[in-house]
Amino acid sequence: MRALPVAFAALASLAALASRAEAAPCCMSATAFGTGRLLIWEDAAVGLRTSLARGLGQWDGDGQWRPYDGYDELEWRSELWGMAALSRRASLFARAPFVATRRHAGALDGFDGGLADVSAGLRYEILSIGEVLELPAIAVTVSVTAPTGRPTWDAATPLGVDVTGRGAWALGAGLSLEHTAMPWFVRVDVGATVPLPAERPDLGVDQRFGPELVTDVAGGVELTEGLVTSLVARLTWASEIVLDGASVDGSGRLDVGLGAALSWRFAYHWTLQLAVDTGLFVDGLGDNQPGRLTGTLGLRYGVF
Amino acid sequence: MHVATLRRTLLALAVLLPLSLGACANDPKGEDTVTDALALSGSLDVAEPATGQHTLTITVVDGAGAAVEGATVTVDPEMPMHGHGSSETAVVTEVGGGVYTAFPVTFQMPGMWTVTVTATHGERTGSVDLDYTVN
Repeated sequence: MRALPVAFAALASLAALASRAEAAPCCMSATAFGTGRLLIWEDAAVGLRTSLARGLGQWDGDGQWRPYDGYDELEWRSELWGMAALSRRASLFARAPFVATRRHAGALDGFDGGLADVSAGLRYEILSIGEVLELPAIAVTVSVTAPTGRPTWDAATPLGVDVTGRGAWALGAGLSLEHTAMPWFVRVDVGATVPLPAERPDLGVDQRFGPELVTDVAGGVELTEGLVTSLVARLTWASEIVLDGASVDGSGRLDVGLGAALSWRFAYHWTLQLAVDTGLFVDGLGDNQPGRLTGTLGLRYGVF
Repeated sequence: MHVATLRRTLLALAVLLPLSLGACANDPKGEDTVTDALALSGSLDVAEPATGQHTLTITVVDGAGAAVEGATVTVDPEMPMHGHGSSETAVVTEVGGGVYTAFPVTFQMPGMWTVTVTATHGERTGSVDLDYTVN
């Protein structure tokens, strides 16, 4: 729990050095956090991101934070991703995550995992970064997620550690705004995901997870050429689950968190990414949602 | 509507309405529920369940309170607010005297769980929803 304040303090210290840094608006937020986007000179990029998330507790349906007691959960997630330019404005992306979970409860202990739900999509830049200096870059994305992971009803372990997916297709759409005032940048991502109805074979009914709205607001600075640090605030809101046409009371979700990231392009083609992310573990800043502390290490290779 | 049909409908309502009101009056969440002819009750091996495997003891009686043997009993744990069920399927064993046990009733994570127990015996059925806060 002390990692986050340390990360933020480090970020603030580094930001103080930013005024002397060189910066290029084309590059700063492209690789700053998440899978980002292609740099303007890249034809493609591939990467591997590995996260380790520790479950600390959960918010119940009334938004009360309840720390875990006698229950341990650690999730390892590695995501192989790639993106390729179709044209100057359009690019394709795909993500294949692998998830492994360890849970311990009483006399039970389990560790298992596998391929999670893969996704792919299209990004189109309506206005590229730097195209009109006074205006932010604007990009839209559409995506689809396939239920390639193992849903709960196919689990074969007592603690469900082999569960890696939700068991439903999902469609997504997003809008990304990015503005640069060297060496600083601000990025706002807003996305909506609509899971499609899927049959629950264990209950013999159709179920649809509630549509999700995800918002990320990030601000960052290029400290020196190729070294970018940023802070991210995120909010996810999901509406209620629908079971055979009827909403399930209290099944909506709220998840709010903060993150810090560091991106270092240490060679022409290679970028190293580090990030920490945490929920805000107090009453009311989550609803029907597990709370986690996550650390991420990523490596990115740009093709040009 | 024919007069005879109307008379039958009113007669059925006159019989069923007091029965249904009586059932509702004795229907606190998590306790006995009468559906058609069978009444079920269930109790977990601990009062405050933790994550993991548990044994659920189920009692099945008919409308007159007599033990029902040879019923087909199913147990479905569900996290309704998360949209998924349990990672294991409970096996139900008949003990005798209308008593059945189900194991493993597995709660693979903390949170609100609802265990739906259903019993069928011939034409008669019954079910009960048991709510648990799992730590």
